[in-house]
Amino acid sequence: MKPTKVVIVGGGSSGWITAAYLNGALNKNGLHRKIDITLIESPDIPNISVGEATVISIKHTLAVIGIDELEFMQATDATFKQAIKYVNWVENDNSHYYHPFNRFTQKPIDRAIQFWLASDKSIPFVDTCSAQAQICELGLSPQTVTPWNLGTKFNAAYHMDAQKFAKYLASYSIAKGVKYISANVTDVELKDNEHISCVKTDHGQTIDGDLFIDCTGFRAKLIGETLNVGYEDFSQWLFCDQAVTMHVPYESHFPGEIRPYTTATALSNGWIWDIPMQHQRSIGYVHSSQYISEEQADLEMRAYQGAGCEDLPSRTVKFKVGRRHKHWHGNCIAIGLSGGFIEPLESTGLHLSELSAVLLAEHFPYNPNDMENMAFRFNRILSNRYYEVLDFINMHYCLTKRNDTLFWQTVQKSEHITDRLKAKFDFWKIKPPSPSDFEDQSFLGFNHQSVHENLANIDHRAPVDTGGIWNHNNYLFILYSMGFEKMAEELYGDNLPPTKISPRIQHRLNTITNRLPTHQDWLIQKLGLRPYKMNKRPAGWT
Amino acid sequence: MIKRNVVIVGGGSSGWMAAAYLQKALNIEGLPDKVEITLVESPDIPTISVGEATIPSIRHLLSVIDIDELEFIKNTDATFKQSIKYVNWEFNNDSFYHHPFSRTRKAPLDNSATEWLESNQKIPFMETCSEQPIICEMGLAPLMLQPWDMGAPLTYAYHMNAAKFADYMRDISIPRGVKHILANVTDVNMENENKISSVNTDQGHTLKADLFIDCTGFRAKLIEENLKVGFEDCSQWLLCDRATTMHVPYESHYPGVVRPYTTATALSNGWIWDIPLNNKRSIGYVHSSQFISAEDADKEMRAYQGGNCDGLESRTIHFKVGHRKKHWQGNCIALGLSGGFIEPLESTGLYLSDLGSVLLAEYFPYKDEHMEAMAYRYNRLMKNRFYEVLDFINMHYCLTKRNDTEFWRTVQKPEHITDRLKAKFAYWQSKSPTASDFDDQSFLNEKIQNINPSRTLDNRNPVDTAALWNHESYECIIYGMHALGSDNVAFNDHKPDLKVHPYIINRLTAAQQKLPLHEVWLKNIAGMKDYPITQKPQGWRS
Repeated sequence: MKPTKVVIVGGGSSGWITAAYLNGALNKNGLHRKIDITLIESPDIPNISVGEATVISIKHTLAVIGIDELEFMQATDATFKQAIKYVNWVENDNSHYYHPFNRFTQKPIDRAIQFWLASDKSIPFVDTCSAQAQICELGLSPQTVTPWNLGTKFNAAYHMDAQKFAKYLASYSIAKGVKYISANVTDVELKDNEHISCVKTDHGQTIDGDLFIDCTGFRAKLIGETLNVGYEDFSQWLFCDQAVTMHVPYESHFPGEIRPYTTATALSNGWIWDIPMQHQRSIGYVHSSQYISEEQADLEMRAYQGAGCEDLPSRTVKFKVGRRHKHWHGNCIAIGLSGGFIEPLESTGLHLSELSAVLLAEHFPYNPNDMENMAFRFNRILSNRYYEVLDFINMHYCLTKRNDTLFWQTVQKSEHITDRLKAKFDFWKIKPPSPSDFEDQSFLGFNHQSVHENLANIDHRAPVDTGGIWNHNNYLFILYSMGFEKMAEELYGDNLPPTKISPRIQHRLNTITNRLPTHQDWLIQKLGLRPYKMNKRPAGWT
Repeated sequence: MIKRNVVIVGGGSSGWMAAAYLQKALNIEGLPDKVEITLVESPDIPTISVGEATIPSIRHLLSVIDIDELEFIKNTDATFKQSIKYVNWEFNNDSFYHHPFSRTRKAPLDNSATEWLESNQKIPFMETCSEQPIICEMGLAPLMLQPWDMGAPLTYAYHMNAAKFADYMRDISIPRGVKHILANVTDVNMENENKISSVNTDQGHTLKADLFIDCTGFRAKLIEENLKVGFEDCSQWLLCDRATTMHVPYESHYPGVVRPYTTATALSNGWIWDIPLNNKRSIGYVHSSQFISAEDADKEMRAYQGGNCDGLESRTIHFKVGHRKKHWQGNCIALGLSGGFIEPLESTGLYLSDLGSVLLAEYFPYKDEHMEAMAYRYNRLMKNRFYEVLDFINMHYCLTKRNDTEFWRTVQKPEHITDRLKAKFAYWQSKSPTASDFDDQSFLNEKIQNINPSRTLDNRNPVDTAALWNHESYECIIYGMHALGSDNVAFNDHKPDLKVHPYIINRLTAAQQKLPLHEVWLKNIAGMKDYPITQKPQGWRS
């Protein structure tokens, strides 16, 4: 059987993750070639480089590709990310909560939420069952310099320079047999209205293939422009459609620490990400052009950084929030922005591309007769995941109690909350999220009919949240950090005893915190980072 | 503080398991809600005592009930179960394969199935990814005589005397506060057609409760006789409706070994279970009355035992294969046989009662207004689980290549294979089972029932969420029976020997050195007596 020809149009993080992952998963890195991969990348079109925080799935991706963690961190200016710290999302009063990766779960039945609800809630729920939030506040590394011997590890993903990541994956993959063509694709030729036969470049090449992967970004040259697969707009639920961004180098603006977490601070009409890498911070104000102008947003971002950043350039990126109706159509698969986009409030950008690569490897159509069956599964799972992300981000907004601007007043309104989320809330008002809620999830009274009349050739079932990315624990963290207990049914009455931290967590905090290096010290000792001098703490840091 | 009352009607393993579990799971020190449990059982009606092999979920149950494992083993005459050995299911030629509980998963990607399919398949599939089949064939216990130091534990469940198990659960529960009434229920008093207000007994009690649990067995006194919830017959898919059983005591018939697994041997018109306890074996010929008479079945069972077993008594039990249309109706829940039954080919009998108790604790209705929403979730999951079991047992039969009797020829016919299973097989012809197949499982060519837009949505396809068996278990049966897989292989030309992963070889070496024979463990640790060795059963040919 001849190896299947895979042609990836577009580079950037999505294109190169796909190339590297498929090569690692299906070709055993060149030893047993089941597929031939060619990646065509334009030398002219710049990559969008906003996807810089990741989630835990990145570790599986790197393991399959075959990349060592330290090497990866060196090549991509990476730092650790243990959590996202949400500032000013509930009230505009410098309050915050953490959404960490780690959580201690009591066996055989975990009742942390019941105990918290039956207490006076004087300690945040997250802190009663996770030590990681405290570790983050103290600026500590999730790893030791010497081999770990402190019990359960602290799960961490990374902050990284996405462009350097793409370049690193490119050189790695090319060395392991991926063919690289630096050229512009001029024409896309079709066999029929679902199947691409070949693409032509401005160097006169014709590249034919069995499977074509569209990594051309928002432009969606293959799946959108050529195959006319539509795009579902999510802007009714998520208002933000622009981001003004800036890099703040440590050379001139070191804030005094390298936070081992991402910070997401709610501003007047959106939120600002604050992502620390090895040599600079990346900040970006995700906002809605309906509520605030580009200029005002730029000013507000600079105010967040504080005085002394006038010479730092900023740029604005526009985006369309939504998803492709079908990610896999015929023999073409949209991976990355061509497949959809949701604002990175939970660092899901790269994850959705990784997931696409993982699912493609798992459902690889060696036999073209199987293509439709594989595509059906791929589309089902990916669309479910997009809705899962949509609903989770929607939740971050709609549970706010802020009403200081029209933007915050509007995001709470019922018409901007998805039906699925409303159904979840209604059920969780009578019982907090529990594990079985994510098995065949549906609740009494929820109308399952699909909302897509125009998706003629897909099954018409509504999406299902299978807890693919976030399970009940994650919902518990967000709901009860944003005051959901006040919306829920009162079960326990008054005169509640003080909140207790789980003894195990307390013990961890007592024994571990003085044995972990600071994040910066770890980077200095393990990656040779040079120590930066304290310059100025950003004005927006609480 | 919320206080609720639950009355369980009926004892036996289901009733007492539920009482023990709920007592512990719903009355937590430090949480203000309390649930008072009363179990009323007839002193006259005998309990059915065939559910003697279990699956690892029982360990969660025992953990919640907070029982010492050794105490449990001693009180129930228990032995270990690491696997089910299926003999003569593919061909009637003494061939067999194991379905063990433990399986090694290679990281970061497990391609065991693909590698096996591409090999010459000389090594049985399960032996290439688990050391447990050979550990079972060597007759070893899953525990050491000393504290465990073999690295990852071996997963196991138990064989146990179900009647003693029920008694043990009772004896634990009463001191903990479960009220026990020995009386016959005479009247069931209904507040309305969906709500039981109380039950009367022949001892003059009137027992009121918020929730009633029907553990009255096939009779289904509450859910069927009073709430009129019907029974869905599944005999089209599973043809067996009767079991002839016998206990073979070690006192007179000790085969010299206590197998650390259940044996399920296919016979002429069904199959015989062979379950070892610490003082006897329980054997039972599950057969179809359509294809074989009770007398012939009894003869065939005795031939399986062989030797001098004329003095041993046998008995015949009839059963209905199927499930209650709704397990939870109004304020009444059917648990155990009142909720349904599937032949114990994968030891799932007790499991469905176990699951019912676990789900009830998770979805406990603390207020009457919550009953419907909780019941909706409960019913969905119980229905899904029932069909998951049905389909898996169906698979065991329909993949046979036996055609030596009309029974075996019939079970292969498409009209006796569920649509869901057919859809799985069609899909797995193109790709071996993988984890994502159970994430919102549905396939392109599957008939997707019209979604009923009405509130209760009971008329929908069940969903297989791999709650009991994931893709690895399906691989085990499918490749154990050498089914499917011909289209999966990417490269058909050359089929090499498969090298078993060194990890498994090392585990086997360690097992031989460190694990005692099963009966040695039982004698040394659990007080099993010494018995004189007699002949091995005739049916133990492989």
